[in-house]
Amino acid sequence: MSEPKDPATSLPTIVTMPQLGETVTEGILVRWLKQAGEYVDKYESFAEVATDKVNAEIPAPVAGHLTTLLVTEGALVPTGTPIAEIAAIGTNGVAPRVRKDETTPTTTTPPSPPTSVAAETQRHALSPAVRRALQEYGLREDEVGGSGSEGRITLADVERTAAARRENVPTESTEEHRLIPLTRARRAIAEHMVQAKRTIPHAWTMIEVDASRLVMRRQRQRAQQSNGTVPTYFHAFCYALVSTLAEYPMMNARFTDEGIEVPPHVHLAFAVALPENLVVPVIHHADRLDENALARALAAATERARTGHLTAAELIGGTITANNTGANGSILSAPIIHAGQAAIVTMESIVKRPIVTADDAIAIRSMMHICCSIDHRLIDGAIVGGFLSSLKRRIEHLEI
Amino acid sequence: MDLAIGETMLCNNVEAIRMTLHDALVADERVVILGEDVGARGNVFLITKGFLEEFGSSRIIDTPLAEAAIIGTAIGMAMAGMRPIAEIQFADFIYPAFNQIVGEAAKTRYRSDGDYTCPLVIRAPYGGGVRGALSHSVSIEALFYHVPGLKIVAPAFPQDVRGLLAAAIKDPDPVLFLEHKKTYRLARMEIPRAPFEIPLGRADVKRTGEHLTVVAYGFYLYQVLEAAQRVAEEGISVEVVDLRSIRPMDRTTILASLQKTHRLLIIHEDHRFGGVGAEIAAMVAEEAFYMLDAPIRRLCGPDVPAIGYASALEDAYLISVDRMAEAMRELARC
Repeated sequence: MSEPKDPATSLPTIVTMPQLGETVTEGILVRWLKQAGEYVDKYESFAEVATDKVNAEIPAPVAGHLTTLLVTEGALVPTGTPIAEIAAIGTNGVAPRVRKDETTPTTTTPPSPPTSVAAETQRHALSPAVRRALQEYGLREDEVGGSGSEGRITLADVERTAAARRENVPTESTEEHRLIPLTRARRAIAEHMVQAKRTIPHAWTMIEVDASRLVMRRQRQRAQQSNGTVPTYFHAFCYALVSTLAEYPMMNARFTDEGIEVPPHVHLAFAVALPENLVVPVIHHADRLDENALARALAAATERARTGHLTAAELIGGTITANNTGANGSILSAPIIHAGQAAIVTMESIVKRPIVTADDAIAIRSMMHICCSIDHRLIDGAIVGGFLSSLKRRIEHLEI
Repeated sequence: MDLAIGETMLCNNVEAIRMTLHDALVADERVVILGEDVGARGNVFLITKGFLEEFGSSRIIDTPLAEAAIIGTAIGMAMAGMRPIAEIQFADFIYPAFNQIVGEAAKTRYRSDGDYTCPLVIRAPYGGGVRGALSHSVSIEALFYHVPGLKIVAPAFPQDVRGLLAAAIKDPDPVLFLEHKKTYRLARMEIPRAPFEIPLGRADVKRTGEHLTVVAYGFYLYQVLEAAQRVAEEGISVEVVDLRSIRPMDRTTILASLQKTHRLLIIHEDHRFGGVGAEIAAMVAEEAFYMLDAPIRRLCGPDVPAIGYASALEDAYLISVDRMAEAMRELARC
């Protein structure tokens, strides 16, 4: 009987972790969609990867057999790291099916020595003692180096690692504290916030706006609209914000060591709060959109954010960020600037307050604060003051 | 017979057996010895030489060449209140007595609900390495340790031989006392002269260690200890458990050792398939699975029907110190 032919006709194709976004440097190999040894068609998805915001499937660059999976599920992998090897089928693109032996052997072959099967599983298997010790010490398999045959992790290896750890752990007991593991999204947010605060000198200011006309306009729109949605306060705020940027391009710029970059467009980033974390989708070329179009774009992006369907492209390229902190009842915020931008503007809660009118009478008005953090390297008080005043005027003189 | 009176004396296994049998014959007139050539000949290994002259033909009985009759008669004696010590001249001859041992002796207490017991000791030389070939080399423990109602002992060293034989003679139930013939005159060791007993069912740690546990019984203990010493020089610390008692088996000592070392190597001369090692491995897998840092290994006699007469065949059958040391190394390093 003949052996099946070796399908590999060339060196294995190495597939690396792709870059899933402009500033993305790493991703998580969420799960393998194919197992080692399985055949993949060209462009067939064989793995699912994720960054802090977005999941994507990786297509096989060539048709062939997925010979080696180089990364375990759940591992965090820098962009460009090899994650799998595919043994490509020859040049005709047709995969030979591996033939099962149809003829039965005529002589009885002695049973294969038990060590060959045991050795195969031994290479990657954890012994029961090791498994239990890892659990007891709270160690992961990848944290322990294996000194057994073929790199197997032995009990001694686990105990050695645990002992080394113990020497570095503070003596105070942490039994009362609850420790919540960091999700990849939370980790990303944390890193981002630290970076922004570390590199950008934040300055903060606020302005008070009479939003009565905004409220009246929305009431009218809602009365007129028999079904469907009406642009929200925040949508109107965003349109006013984008319009005002035309007069104050510096608010839309960013500081680099080579100079202040002034983009020819406004890519409006806005925060959407999700149950577990925060996402910041970007409306590209927001300056080209009229108020209704911008409202629709914001609503659609919000919906995609909530259902987890944002694409990687939607999360990059923002030039300024707007945040609807007022939705939670906030009347004042000190927001953190998104790294790579120069300003973040918040719309606080609209609250009915007694105010003093121009002719010294007391009146009740729907008042709203707008808060703004700026990068003081390129924006100073005059600019942000002028910007906010202009924004205030726009909102206070809305056509009802 | 020459016996030095004093606290301890140097004895080999033959001398230890002889001394213990003599003590029992003197201390208890219910004790009789029966078997082929035990009287006039004094046993083919001279263990009972002079006993016939000293104790008379009603207590030292030369039987016909008929193993079923030897054991059957002994069972009757035991049930009638005597303390017979029956000898099977070579374990290879025990098969005709199988029915008596398994069908009668092992079941006596149970079937009579304790009205009758069978305080019988069956002594049998077993094992290879003496160019004994087909009919003088077998190991039989696996045939009998399966049977509830029987106790089986296989000590390797003179002190254990003496203490366990004394306990077997006192035991109210049938005990198969296996003497590895290659150990008979192998080594002399200091043992107590005064009678003493070692309880049946207890193993003994002959060498303490950290990296792996070897469980063995019989003649191979001598090689195991030598191999353990050899690998100790390479930094591998081997704990050696002498099983001594095959049934009842001392699981506590084995498990305690594994708790320390986490790796188990079982070594015995008998065939691998279904041998005593299989029961040890199953017990450990059931009760100490989470202690194991490596698969359980058995180094055993091959599954061939007999030890050959040709010296090359016998040498291939038996396990050398080198092979034992290599097995220890592999287990320690895997």
